[in-house]
Amino acid sequence: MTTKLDVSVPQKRRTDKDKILLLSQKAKRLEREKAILQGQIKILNAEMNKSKHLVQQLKDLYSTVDSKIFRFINRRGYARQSRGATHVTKLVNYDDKSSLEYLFALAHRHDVVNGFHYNVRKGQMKLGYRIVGRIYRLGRDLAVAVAKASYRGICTLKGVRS
Amino acid sequence: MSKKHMMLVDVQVLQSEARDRGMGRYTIGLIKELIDSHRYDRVELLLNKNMPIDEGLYQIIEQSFSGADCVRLSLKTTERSSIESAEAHNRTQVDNYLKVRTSEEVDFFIPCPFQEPTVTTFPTSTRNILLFYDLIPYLYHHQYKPVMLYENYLKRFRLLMQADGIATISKGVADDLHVFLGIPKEKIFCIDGAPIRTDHHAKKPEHFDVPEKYVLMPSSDDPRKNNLRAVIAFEEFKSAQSGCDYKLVITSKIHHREREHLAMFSDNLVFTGNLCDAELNWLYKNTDIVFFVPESEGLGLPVLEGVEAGKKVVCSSINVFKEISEDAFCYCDYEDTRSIASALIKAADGSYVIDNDEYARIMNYYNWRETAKRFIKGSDKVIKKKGSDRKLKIAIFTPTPDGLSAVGKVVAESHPVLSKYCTVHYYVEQGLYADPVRPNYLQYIAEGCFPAEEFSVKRYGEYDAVIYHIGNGDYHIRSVLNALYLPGYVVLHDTNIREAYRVLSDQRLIAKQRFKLEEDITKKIGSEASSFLATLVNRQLGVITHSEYAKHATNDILHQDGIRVKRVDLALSAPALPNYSKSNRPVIGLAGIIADIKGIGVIEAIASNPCFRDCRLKIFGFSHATQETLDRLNSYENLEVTTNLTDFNFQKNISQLDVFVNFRTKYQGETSLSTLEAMRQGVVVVVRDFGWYSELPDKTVIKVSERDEIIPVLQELLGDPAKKQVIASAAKQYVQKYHTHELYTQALLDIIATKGVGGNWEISEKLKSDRIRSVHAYLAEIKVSKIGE
Repeated sequence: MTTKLDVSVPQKRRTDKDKILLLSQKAKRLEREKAILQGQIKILNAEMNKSKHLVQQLKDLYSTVDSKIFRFINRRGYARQSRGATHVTKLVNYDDKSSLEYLFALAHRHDVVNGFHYNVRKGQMKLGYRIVGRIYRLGRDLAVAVAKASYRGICTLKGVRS
Repeated sequence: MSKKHMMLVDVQVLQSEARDRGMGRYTIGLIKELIDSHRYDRVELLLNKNMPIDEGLYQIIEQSFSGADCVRLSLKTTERSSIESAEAHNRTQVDNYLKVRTSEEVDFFIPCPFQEPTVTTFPTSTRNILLFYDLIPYLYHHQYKPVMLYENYLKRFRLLMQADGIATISKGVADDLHVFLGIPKEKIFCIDGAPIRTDHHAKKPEHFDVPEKYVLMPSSDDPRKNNLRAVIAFEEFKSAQSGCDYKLVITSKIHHREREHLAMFSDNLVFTGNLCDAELNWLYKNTDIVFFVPESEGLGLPVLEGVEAGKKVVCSSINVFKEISEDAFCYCDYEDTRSIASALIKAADGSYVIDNDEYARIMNYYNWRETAKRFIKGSDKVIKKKGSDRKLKIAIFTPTPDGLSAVGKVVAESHPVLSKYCTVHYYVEQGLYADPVRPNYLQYIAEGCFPAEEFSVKRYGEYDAVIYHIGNGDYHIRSVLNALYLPGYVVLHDTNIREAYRVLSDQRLIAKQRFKLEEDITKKIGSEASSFLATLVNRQLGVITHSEYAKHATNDILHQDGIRVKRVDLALSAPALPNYSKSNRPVIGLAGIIADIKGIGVIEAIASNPCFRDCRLKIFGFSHATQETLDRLNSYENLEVTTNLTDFNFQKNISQLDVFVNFRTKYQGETSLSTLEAMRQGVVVVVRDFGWYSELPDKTVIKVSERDEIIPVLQELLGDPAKKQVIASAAKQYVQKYHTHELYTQALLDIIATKGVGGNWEISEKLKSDRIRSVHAYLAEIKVSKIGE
C-alpha cells in the first residue's frame, strides 16, 4: 500500500511560503498595532497632563489673549515706517561701469542714512491707541480683581476657605 | 592667626512642605553629617522668621542638628512679593547679619535653591555654594511649564551663575548643567547621595490589602515617571508568565484621574497613597522586585533603597542608574514596553541574580558619611569670585535663545564662561515667525537683555565692543542692519547671507535698490565662496569665522585695512559620562534641520538597500521638508521620522546613533552644530569632504566625496566595530579638547583686545567719543556726502 500524500511537494512548498507570508503579515500587523498603541499612550499621557491642569490652561489662554490684544494695539499704535525710504533710494545711482570702490561708497552712504533714520523706533504711540490701551488695561485689571473677589466669596460660602 | 571657618546654611526649605519630600530629607541627611564631620568651626542654620516652625522641625533641629546654631531673619517669600524684590530684601538681611562677622571666613550654602515659596539668595561677601538636584523641569519644559511657577523657576537660574561652586547629586546632573546650560566643569562637583530613610522600623500597611506577591513600584504623580508604560509592561510580563499572581504596588499619592487611566490597562494595580517610613520599609522588605522605570532622574533614590533592602532592581537604562552600577540591575529601555516586560521576566524567573559584592560596594559608596566627605572635598576646591576688577562691557546681537536658530542656543550656552570676563548685554532678534522651542533663561541671568530694535548710535558708545552674530535668515536682520554702519566684530555663521538681505528688503528695512547694489557688488568681486558678504565684513573691526573656508572667503573680499580675521572653533560642552544609550541593533541617522539639501536622499538610499535591513534608521530634527517628503520618508518600514523635538530629546536621539550621516548637497560656509553634537557623544559621523567638514581631523570623522561612496563606507564601518570605536573616541576627545567655551571666549577677548588702525577704527572711536552725532557728521567723516547725487 502506498501512502497517499495529501499535498504534492511543490504544493507543500507553496503552503510553507504562504505560511511565511502570513506570519510576516501578522508581524507587520502587530508592529502597526504596537505603533497605534504607542500613539495612544502618547495621547493619553498628553490628556492626563492637560486635564489635570485646567486652571493653568485658563491662565495660559488669558495671557495669550492678553498679549495678542497688546501686540495688536502696539503694532497699530506706532507710526508706520515710511514706505520705501525714497531719498535713500535715489542715492543708489550707478551703472555697469561704476568701480567697486564707488559701489562700496554708495552702499556705505545708504547704510549710514538708513541706520540713522530708519533703524530706530521713534516717537510715542498714537494718542487714540494710548487711550484704548489704558482703558483696556484698567478694564482687564478690574475684571480680574472682581473675578478673584467673587471666587473667594463663593469659596467662603461653600466653606472651602475659612 | 587664621580665621575661623563658619558655614551658614539656608534651611528655609525645612519650613516648607518639601521638608518631608526627597529634597528636604536629602538636606537633613547631608547637613547632619556635615555638622558631625567637624570640618567647620561653627555651623549656623538660617531660618525664616516669617514662616512657621512646627513641632516636627523642632525635633529635627534637636535630634539631627544639635551641634548647630539657628538664626532667624525676617525674609520674604514669593507668596507676598515678587521674586526680585524678595531677593533684594533677603540679600540685604543676610548681608547685614554677616557684617559683624568679619573675623570669620564664611561659606554660604543653599541646599534647595528652587523651592517655592522660599527665596534664597547669596550674600556678597561669602564663598557661595549651592546644591543642585536636577534640570528636569527645564529639559521637560512642555510637561512642567503648566504645573509650576515657570518664570520664577527660570529666574532662579541666576543663583547658578552667582554660585562659586555647585554640588550635584549625580554625575548625570553635572553633565546636564554643563551640556545644556554651559556651566563650566570647574565650578561643578558631584557628591552623589544616599538612601534617605533613616528610620528602619517596619510596619505592615493597614489602609489597603497588601497582596501576597507583589512588585513594588515607587513612583509619583509626575509624567516623567513613565507610569503608563510601566503598567502596560507589567501586563505584558503577567501574560508571558503562566500562573503569575503578582500585583503591582504603586506608591505615593497619584491623582485620581491618572489612577483611572492606569486602571484601564490593568486590573492588577494597588495604589497605596502616601505612606509613612515604616510602611514603606515593610513594602521594600517584603517585595520580590523593586521596579522603577522613569524617563529621567537626578539620582534615583528608589534604586538605592532597593539595594539597601537587598532586592532585585528593574530600572531604566539611563545615565544616573548606570552611574550607580553598570551591571548590578536589570536594565530596560523605558520607551519600549517589551523591553521593560523582558527585564521584569528576567528578574522574576531567576535568570538574574543579585551580585552581593556589587550591592555592598554600592552601599559603601552611597551613604551620608561618604557624601559629606565628597561635599567637603569639592567645596574646599571652590574659589571665591573676585568682585572688584573692571570687566569689559560688550553688546552681543543674537537670535533669541528660545527660537529655531541654533545660534541663539549656542550664545546662551556660552554665557556662563563669557560672563566670567565681561559684562554682557544681549540685543535679541525674535525672527519673523517667533515660535519658542525652548525656555529662554538668558533674559533672566544676563546683566542686560534688550530687543535688538533698541540698539542705537548712543548705545553703541556705551560698550567696549559690539559683537554681531551673522547668519543667513530672518534672525539676523537687525544684526546686519547695525553692523553695516556701527563697526564691531562679526561672527560669521554663513558665508552666503543673501536671504538675510532679502528679508531686510522685504521688510522695507533697506531699499530694494540696496539689495540690487549688494548683488552687483557680489558679482563684481567675483568670489564664489561668499555672497552678499563684502560690504558687511569691510565695515568691521574684526571678523570671527568657524572654519578656514570662511576665513579664506572673508580674506578674498576684504578691501579695507586693519580688519583682523580670526578662526575659532565653534564652542559646545561635552559630557563627561560615557554614552550608555547604545542598543544592540545598529542605528544610522540624520539629524538637525530636515530638508532636502541636508541629504535626505542618502538616508532613503540606505533605507531601501537590503544590506541595512537589520539597522534602525532615524531622521529627527526641525522639519523644513514638504509634507510629501515626510510622507514618503514615513513609508519606509525601517525608518523613523521624528520632528520638532525638545533639545533634550534631540540629544537623546543623537546619542542613540551609531553612525550619523551628514552628506550635504550644497555648502554655504556654515558649521554643523549637529555634527559636533554627535561627535561629543562618541557617534561616528560620515561627512562630505568639503568646506568646514574637510577641516575636521581625518581620524575623527569619515569623509566621502561622492554619494556612491556612502553605502560601502557604512558597510565597512558596521562590519568593523573596533574601527568604529577608535573613530568615536577620537571624535569625542577632539570636541572635548578644541571646541570649548573657554577657548572660544579667549579667542574673542584676544580679537577685541588687539587694537587696529584704519577707517573703521577711526569711525568707531569717533562714534564712541560722541564726535559723530548726526548722519551729516558721519557722512562727512567717510567722505561720501555728495556721492551718487
